[in-house]
Amino acid sequence: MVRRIPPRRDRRLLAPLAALLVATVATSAAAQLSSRAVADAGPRDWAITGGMVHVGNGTVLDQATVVIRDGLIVSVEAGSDAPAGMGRLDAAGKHVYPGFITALSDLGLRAAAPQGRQAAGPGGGPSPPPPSRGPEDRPDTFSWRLAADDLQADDDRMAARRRAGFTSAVTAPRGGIVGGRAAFLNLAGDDARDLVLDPDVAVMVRLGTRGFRSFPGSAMGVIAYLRQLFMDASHYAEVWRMYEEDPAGLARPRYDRALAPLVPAAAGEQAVLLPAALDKEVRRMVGLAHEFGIRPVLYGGHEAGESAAFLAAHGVPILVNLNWPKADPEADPDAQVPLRTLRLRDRAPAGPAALAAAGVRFAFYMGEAPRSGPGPPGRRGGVPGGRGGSGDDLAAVRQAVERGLDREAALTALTMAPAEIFGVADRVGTLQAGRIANLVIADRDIFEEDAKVETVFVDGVIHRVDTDDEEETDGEETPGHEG
Amino acid sequence: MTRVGRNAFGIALALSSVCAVAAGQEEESWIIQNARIHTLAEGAEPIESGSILIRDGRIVEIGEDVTAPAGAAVIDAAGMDVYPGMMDSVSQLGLTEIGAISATVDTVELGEMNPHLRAATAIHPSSEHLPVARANGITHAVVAPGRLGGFGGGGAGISGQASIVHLDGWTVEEMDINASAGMVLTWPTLSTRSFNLATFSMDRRSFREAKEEYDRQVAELGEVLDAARRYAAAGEAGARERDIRLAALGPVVGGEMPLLILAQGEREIRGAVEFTKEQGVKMILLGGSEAWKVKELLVEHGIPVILGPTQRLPGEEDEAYDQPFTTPGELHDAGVTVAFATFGSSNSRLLPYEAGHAVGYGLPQEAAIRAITVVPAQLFGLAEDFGTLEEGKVANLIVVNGDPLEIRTEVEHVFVNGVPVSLDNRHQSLYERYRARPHPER
Repeated sequence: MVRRIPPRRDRRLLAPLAALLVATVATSAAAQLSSRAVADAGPRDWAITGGMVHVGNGTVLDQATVVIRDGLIVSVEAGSDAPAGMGRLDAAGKHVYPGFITALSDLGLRAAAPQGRQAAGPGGGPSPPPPSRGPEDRPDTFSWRLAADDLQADDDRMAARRRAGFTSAVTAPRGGIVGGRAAFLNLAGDDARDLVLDPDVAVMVRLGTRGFRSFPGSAMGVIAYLRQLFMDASHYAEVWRMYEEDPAGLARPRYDRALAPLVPAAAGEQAVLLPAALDKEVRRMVGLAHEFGIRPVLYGGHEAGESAAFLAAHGVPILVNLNWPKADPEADPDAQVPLRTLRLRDRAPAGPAALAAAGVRFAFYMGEAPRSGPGPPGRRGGVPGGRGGSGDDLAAVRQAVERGLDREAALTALTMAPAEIFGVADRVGTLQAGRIANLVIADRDIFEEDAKVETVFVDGVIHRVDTDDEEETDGEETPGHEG
Repeated sequence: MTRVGRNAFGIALALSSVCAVAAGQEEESWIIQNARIHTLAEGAEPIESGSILIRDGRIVEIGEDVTAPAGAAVIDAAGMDVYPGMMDSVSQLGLTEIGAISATVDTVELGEMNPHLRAATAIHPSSEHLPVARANGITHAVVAPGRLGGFGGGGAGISGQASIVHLDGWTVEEMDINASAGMVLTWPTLSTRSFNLATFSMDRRSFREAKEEYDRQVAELGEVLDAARRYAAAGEAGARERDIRLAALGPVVGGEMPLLILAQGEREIRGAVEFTKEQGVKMILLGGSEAWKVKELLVEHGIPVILGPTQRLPGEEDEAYDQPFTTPGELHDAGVTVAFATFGSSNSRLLPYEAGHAVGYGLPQEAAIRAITVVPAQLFGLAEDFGTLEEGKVANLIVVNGDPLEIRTEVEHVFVNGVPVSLDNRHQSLYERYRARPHPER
C-alpha cells in the first residue's frame, strides 16, 4: 500500500509541495502499517459466503463468496468455498455491494470555525478578512489548502454515514471561492491519516460572493475572477517551465502559493469541482471550463434532465445533490410558489434517470438544500453541508429509482462512477480481487423501500449495524468461526 | 441672461399667485363660455356648448344660457372640454419634497401608534410638486402620513390622520378642505422575509414566528380601538383626563371617520376586512394589489378600494403581465367602488394616466373619470361640495383640449377654490431654461 504520487505533476515546479506530500505519505504509510499490526490482534480476515454479490461493474454473482485479507479483497467467486482460519460471515439471502461513495462532503472536517478566526484581532475577537479590491488581492482563494490535512478520525457523522452503507467520501475544504483541494477518504480509521486514499483529487470551487464591500460582490465578479485566476495559473506554469529549462539570464519568477497548486487543474490534468444546480449554470460552467481547458466535475444537478444531452455531448460528469428541492415546512402556506420552483421540485428526482439514459457519468452526494429564486449562485449549487442523516441519501436515491433510474445505474452512481470520476477506480468502487475491502451487506436489494444495511466493511474492518437502534458495534470483535 | 430670465420668471410666478388670491378676496367673478361641459352629475349628459359662472369660490350658474355679468372675466373655451378638477385620493403632496434628502421628508413619526398626527400640520404649501400636479389637472388631494409601502417595508400601525387640501394656497389653512378626513392604518404584513438594513440582506423566519407577530399586531390594534371606546365613554361620563391619541380615534370608533387601511396581499385584505367588521368601523382599502382576488368579499361588505399605483409590474412571478392594469376593470365589473391614487408627491401629476391606462384594459371610460373625481369626493364625504360641476359646488375645475385621461391632452385652465391658478411649474421652467440653453457652433 504505497501511495502513488500522480505522475502528471511537474515535480520541479511543485517541488516544495511534492516534498510535503512525500513526507505526509511516508508518515501515513507508516501509521497505517502500525495500525494494521495492532488490528491483527483480532481477526481481520473474512469470508462472506452465500450472498448475492453485486460486483459494481454490472456483474451480479448469486451465492458467491468474497474473501478479504489484510484489508483487501482477495477473491470474489461463485460458490461457498472459504479458506480456513478466517472469520466467516454467512450472507445467504443477503445482498453484497461495493461500499457506497458520497461524492462530495465535508465529512471528517472539524466543525466550521467562525469566519476570520485565524486573523483574530488584538482583543482576541474575530476580525473579518480585509476587503479585497480586485482579482489581484486573490479574494477567498485557498488553493494551497488540502482537506486531507484537516481531517479528524472521530467525526461522528462518519459513523452515521457508515450505517447507511457509505464507506468512502470525497471531502472538500470549506469556504472560499477556491476552497482548496478535495481528498478521497475511507470513512473509518483510528487516525485521520488512515482515512486518506488520495489527498488531492480535485480543486473545489464555489461561486460565493463577499457582499457589497469586497470584491467579488456579484456573480459576474466571481466568474471574471475565476477566469483571471486560471489565466494566471497557466502563465505561472509557463514562466516556471521556461525558467527551469534554462534559468541562466532569466529573472526568477515569484513563488505563489495560490497559483502553484492550480497548475495541474489549469492544464486539465486535475478535476475542478464547479457548482451548477440549474441548467443555465451547467452551461455556464462548462463554457468556463472549456475556455481554459479545465476538466470540470459539476456538482448540483437539479435540472439534470434538461442538461443531460448537453453533458453527454461534452463528456462532462456531474455530481447530483440528493437533497431534492422541496417545500420548506416553515414557509408561508399561503405564499404563491412560482411555477418554475414547482417544476424544479417535481423534475429534480427524475434527473438521474435522464443522465443515465444519455450516458452521462454521474455520482451522488448530499448537499445543502438548494435555494430557489434570486441569490448568489454559489448557494444554489448545494455545497456539501455534511448533514449526517443516515437514511437520507438512500431514501433520495430510491426516489430517483422510482422516477425511472435503473437500479444498476443507481448502484454505479454510488460506487464505480465516483471512483472513476476521482481517479481511484483501481482501488475502490467495485468488488474485485486486489481492491480495497469496502463492502456493504444489506438484508435485501438496497433499493427496496425497507432495505436495511446490516454490515459494513471499511478497509476490511467490520462494522455491524444494529438495525433495531441503528447503533453500530465497531471494529475488532471476535466473530464466530464457522469453518 | 439665464439668471435674469429665471428671476423674472420667479417674480412672474409669485405675482400671478398674488393676483389670483387677491382676486378671490375681491369676489371677482369668472365665466367660462362655449365649452363642452362634462358635469358628471348623476344621469346628466354633457352640455355641448355651455357656460359656467364662478363667483366667491363656487359655481354660481351652469348651463347653455348663462348671461355674463358685468365685470366678469371671460374665458372663451370654444372647442374645449370642462371637467371637475381631479382628486388624488391618497398622496404625500407637501409632505415630501426630495426623497433622498431627509430634511425634506416629513411623512412618518416614530412608533406604531400615531393617530394623533395630522398630515395638514406638515404640509408645505410651497412644495414644487403642487404646481406640477395642478398643471396636469389635479385640484385637490388627500395627503396621507405614513410609509405607504415605501422601501424597507414595515411601518405597520396607525401613521396618522389624512388631510384633504386644495392644491393652491399660501398657507395650509387656505388650502384646507378637511384636515381630519381619515385615519391611515398600514395593515401588518405576514411575511417570512424581511429586509435587514443592518446587514443589507434578506432575513428569513419561520411562518409560525411571522404569524405570531402578525396576530400580536392585530390584537394590539383591537386593544387600541377598545381603549378609544372606553375613553370616549369616560369622557361622556365626565372624566377630565385627556389623551390625545385616544381622543383622535374617537371619530373612528364612532363610525364617523373611515380607517384608510393600506393592505396589498389577499390575506392582509381579508384580515383587515374581518377586523373592521368585528370593530364596526368604516374601512376604505388602500393599495389593494391583490384586491382582484377578493372581489366578492369587498362587494359583500361594501368596501371601496383606492388603487394605485397600477402602472407597475405584477406582484408574483406567475401573475399575468397585465394584472395591475386589468385589476380596476375587474373590480368595477364585480361592483366594487374604485378610485385611483398615486400614493406619492412627484408622481401625483400621473393620476389621469392611472385611470386612462385602466380604460385600455377594460374599465369603462365613464367609470375611469369618475374614479378620480366623483368617487373620491363621495368616499371622503365631500360630495356636497366636490366631484361634479353643479351649481353651488366649490369651483375646482379644469379646462382641457381633449380627453383628460389622454397623455397628449393639454390642460388650459385650472380653477382651484374658485380662482384660476397659474400653470407655471418647475417642469415647465426647467423645460424653458434648457430649451434656451446656448448652442455652441458645431
